[in-house]
Amino acid sequence: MHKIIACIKEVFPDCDPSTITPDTRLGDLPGWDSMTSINLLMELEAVFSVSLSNATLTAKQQVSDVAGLLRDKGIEL
Amino acid sequence: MTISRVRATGSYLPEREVLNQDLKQFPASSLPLIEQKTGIAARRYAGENESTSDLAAKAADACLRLANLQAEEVQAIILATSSPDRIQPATATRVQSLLGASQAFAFDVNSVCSGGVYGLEIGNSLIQSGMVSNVLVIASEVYSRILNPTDFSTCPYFGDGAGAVLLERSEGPAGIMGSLLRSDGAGHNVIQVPCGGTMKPYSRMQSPREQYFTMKGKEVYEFAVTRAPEIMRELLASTGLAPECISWVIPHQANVNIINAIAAAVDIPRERFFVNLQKYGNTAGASVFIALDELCRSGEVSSGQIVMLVAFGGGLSWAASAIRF
Repeated sequence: MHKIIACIKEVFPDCDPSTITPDTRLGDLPGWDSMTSINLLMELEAVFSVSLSNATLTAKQQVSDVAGLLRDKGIEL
Repeated sequence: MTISRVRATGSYLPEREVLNQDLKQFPASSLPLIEQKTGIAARRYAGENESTSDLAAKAADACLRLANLQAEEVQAIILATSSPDRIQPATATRVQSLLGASQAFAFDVNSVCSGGVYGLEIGNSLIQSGMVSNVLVIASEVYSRILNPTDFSTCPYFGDGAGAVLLERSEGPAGIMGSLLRSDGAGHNVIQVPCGGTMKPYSRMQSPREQYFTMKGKEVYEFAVTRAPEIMRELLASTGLAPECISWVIPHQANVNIINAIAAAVDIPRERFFVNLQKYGNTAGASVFIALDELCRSGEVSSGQIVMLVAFGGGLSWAASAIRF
């Protein structure tokens, strides 16, 4: 999970990583919108060396959903 | 009564057109979002050997040719830019040299996306003070050099370009009827290029991202849709103009959704808002001048019509001006 949180911190520098939990709603991240959600997908792709080209992340999803997305791609967390 | 008249306008857009589908560094599935969220379908990027001053000089040259004025007759050059050639000297001085405007004095104004309107009012003030009888106000930006090419929340928005307005002393009635300039320094971090100045020189850069333009999109949206209608209403009140007197509004070409929200908040029909961002993207401080030139050259502005300019951007800053043609 800490690698996902590091990705979130990189894309959303105003967030406090110590407050991010699996239940954190993506829409509550400071700076989250439909455009920055693409930045998070690109950061996850680069860090986890995985293709997420058809994936989407929405404001209603949680950090645990990001973990689930990566697990679905065969990434061990 | 002394008034500053718009004698001519000019603009220059670099040749290289970059369509949304050309932004191949982003996932193909995300590209339709660009037009959907911003209204932008294309933008122009400066050539490898073109800098902000080159674009500015070309826009200024087009303006001076339309005015049939020799560069040596220009008395002052104000260049609005937030993407200067260098930290120093003023980019305006290279523009002066390129134009051969040997009798002018030249300086820069950095009010980011409000820069063009700020420059226009400063030029108006120079004329009103009696210091000069003409001012060449230029706004030029090359954001393609300060954008993070992998930041989907900024890169697709912006393009390069320049616009120019030649102001000259007149007895009226055509000319600048009134302007308002505003800023709120509490928002100085909302839009910024973090590195490269004295606060954080490149030698102290912690991440390559810090060399690039950043903005907090939600805060910018809220700021723009609040402050732009507010200053437009204030300008109408201070000039004694009714909304129906405004033939055209030229808003800063940031995002079509922002422009739609501004139009909905003021009592001026949306069809009077001139929009060309679909072709050029957000050209920052230059956008209002580029749009003004396009509107004027289209023949849509007739003598006696009043055009309102409204801009908003980094600083935070915002500004509006009412001009009778």
